[in-house]
Amino acid sequence: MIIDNIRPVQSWKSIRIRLSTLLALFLVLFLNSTKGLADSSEVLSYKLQTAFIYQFTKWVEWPAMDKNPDLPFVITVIGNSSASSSLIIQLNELAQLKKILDKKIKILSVEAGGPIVKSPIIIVIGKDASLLRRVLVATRGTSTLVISDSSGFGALGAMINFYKEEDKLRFEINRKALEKEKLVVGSQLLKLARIVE
Amino acid sequence: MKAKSIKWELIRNQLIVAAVVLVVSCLAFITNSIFTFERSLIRNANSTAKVLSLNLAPAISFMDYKEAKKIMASLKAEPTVVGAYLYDNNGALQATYGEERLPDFKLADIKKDDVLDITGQYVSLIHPIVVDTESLGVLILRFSKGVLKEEFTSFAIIAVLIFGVGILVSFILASFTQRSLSTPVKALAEFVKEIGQSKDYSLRFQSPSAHRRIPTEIRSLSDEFNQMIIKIQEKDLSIKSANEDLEIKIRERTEELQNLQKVALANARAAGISEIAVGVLHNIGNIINSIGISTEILSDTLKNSKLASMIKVNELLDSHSVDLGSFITTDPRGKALPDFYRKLAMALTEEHKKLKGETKQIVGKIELINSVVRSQQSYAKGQIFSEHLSVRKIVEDLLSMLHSMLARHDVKVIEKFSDVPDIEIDRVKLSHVVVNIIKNAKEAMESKDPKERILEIEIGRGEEGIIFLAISDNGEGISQESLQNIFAHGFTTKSNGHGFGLHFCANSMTEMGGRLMVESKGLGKGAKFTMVFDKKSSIKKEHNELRG
Repeated sequence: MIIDNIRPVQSWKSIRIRLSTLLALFLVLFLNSTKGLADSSEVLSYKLQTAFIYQFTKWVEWPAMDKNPDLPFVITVIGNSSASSSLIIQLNELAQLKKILDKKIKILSVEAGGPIVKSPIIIVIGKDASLLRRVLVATRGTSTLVISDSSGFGALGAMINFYKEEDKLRFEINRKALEKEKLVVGSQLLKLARIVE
Repeated sequence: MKAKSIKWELIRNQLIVAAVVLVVSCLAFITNSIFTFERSLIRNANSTAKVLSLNLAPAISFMDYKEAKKIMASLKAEPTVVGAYLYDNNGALQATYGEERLPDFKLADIKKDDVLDITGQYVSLIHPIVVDTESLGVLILRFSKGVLKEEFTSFAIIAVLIFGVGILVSFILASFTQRSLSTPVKALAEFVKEIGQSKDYSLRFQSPSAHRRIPTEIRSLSDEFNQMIIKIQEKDLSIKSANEDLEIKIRERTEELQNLQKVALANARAAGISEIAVGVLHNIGNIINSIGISTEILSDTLKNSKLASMIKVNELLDSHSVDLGSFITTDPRGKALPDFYRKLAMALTEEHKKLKGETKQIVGKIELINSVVRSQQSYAKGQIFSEHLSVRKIVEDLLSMLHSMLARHDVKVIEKFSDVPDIEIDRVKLSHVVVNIIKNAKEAMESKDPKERILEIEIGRGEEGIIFLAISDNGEGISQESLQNIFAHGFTTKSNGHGFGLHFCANSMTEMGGRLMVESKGLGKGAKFTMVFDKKSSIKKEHNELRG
């Protein structure tokens, strides 16, 4: 190149410093960008999960649901606060716009170690299997629909567990768990789900 | 139009009725089937859309469009569905079935209710997918209209078959059922024909026994017809009887009429004789009048004859027979004798001439009377004496005979005679005609000043060489009414006339092959009688003359 011919030959050290600086700069930029991408993908996923949760209420029958419209339909989100916050935001947006079974929607956020409040739906966030077990034990016999989003949670006893397939949000259903809690799910919903047990 | 038998008329009528009923029924059937099919199609489309929507609702709820497509593939069981299209709430086409593809559309354009569109190539049903009053998307189903066409074709084929079978069955039934009507009617028609040909009214119509179910009207018609034949038979007998009576009466009446005819013929003959007698007397009367005038002239001439003076002179001479010489020479009367005798001779010569002339006329008129009598005798025997004569000569002779009469009445005669050939004519008849007309003219001019009485006689040739003789006067003329009846028998305007003269003249001219015409411009304007002679005789004569 003509420029190379003009410029004086630089030392290997200075070159290494420069390359290191450029690499660092590149990594910073790359990580920031991937974080942004991951954030937007996460938001989209929680949006979908919110939409799915809302749709589940149309295909699931709670046997002992209080029909008083003045009482809200409570959805409890339990788990790591940083992970659950995004979902709670989406659920709150849903609560602003929609009703479930003619009831206003109320979103409760509970930390992983917090008390488990009785509600028709409890969403377990995170990969903490002990949390799931605790929730399942606490809600046993209360016809609570426990929803999770971690691989293998369906087999552990979560009635509905989200998973991803070909970049699409899917869900699996633990039919036995539903039956135990006397929750009735429409056959059309079962067709769409992966039955785990 | 060719008449058809009652059999075919009945079959045709029944077939027309059957065809109309079948056509109406088939049309109703096709229409009803199509409506029913359409309703069924729509109902089916609705129920298909509802079921499919229910099945698709979870898939669209959870955006599992692969599953949605699987569900829509179940539409293969519905052959009428040619396409299905699933749109999400954003208007994006998410799953399809079939090869056709709809363009994207705005969800806002679609109502909540189902929309059925049958105007296009397909029957399209747009069905919203709703779960708990929440719209999830839209399902569009397309149904082929070809099925409708196929259904219509099959219905049409069925209708045609029904029509054909119906007509065939109707024809067979009509062929049987028409017999109950056509057989007795045909039998009745043949019976009527037989009656008409044979005129045998003793026959009676018997309804065909093979058909017991003969309609009341036809049975009644048969009975009435038999009654009618009985009446006809009775009337026929009475007519025959009446005919026989009538024949007898006609025969009797004919005999009576024949007798009456004989009587009438005798009367007619008597009347003819009477008429002839009247004619003869009239004509002879005319001639005798003329003879009377001539006789009067003779008498006057003899009365005023100079012969008496000659006798007186002779007596004077006898008294002077002793001194006849001295008397003639010395006596003044004797001296005047030579001159007297000379004048007497002249007067006597004149008288002689006059007497001779009148005598000749009387002889001629007597001859004419003889001719009249002969003529009437020949007329009575049906004979007409025709001779080749000169009209002019006849007229001149007649004028000569009538001269004294005309002169006594101061009638001035103007003669306009052209040279015409002789014609075949009855001299006596023509003489009578001419004398009659001249005599009438003379009488018509009696009221005129004697100085103005003019009789014009013209002989000449008219159109096509026909010879005519016209006698006109400037006398009292003839009214228009009188002109119409002037030749009728018994018609006269004279106080002492008997209405025969001109009637006789007209008849005479007709008998001679000519005719007599009259014209007058009215009362006081004279009259003109024209005798036209037979054209054939004129021309024939002329030709003969030319040949000669």
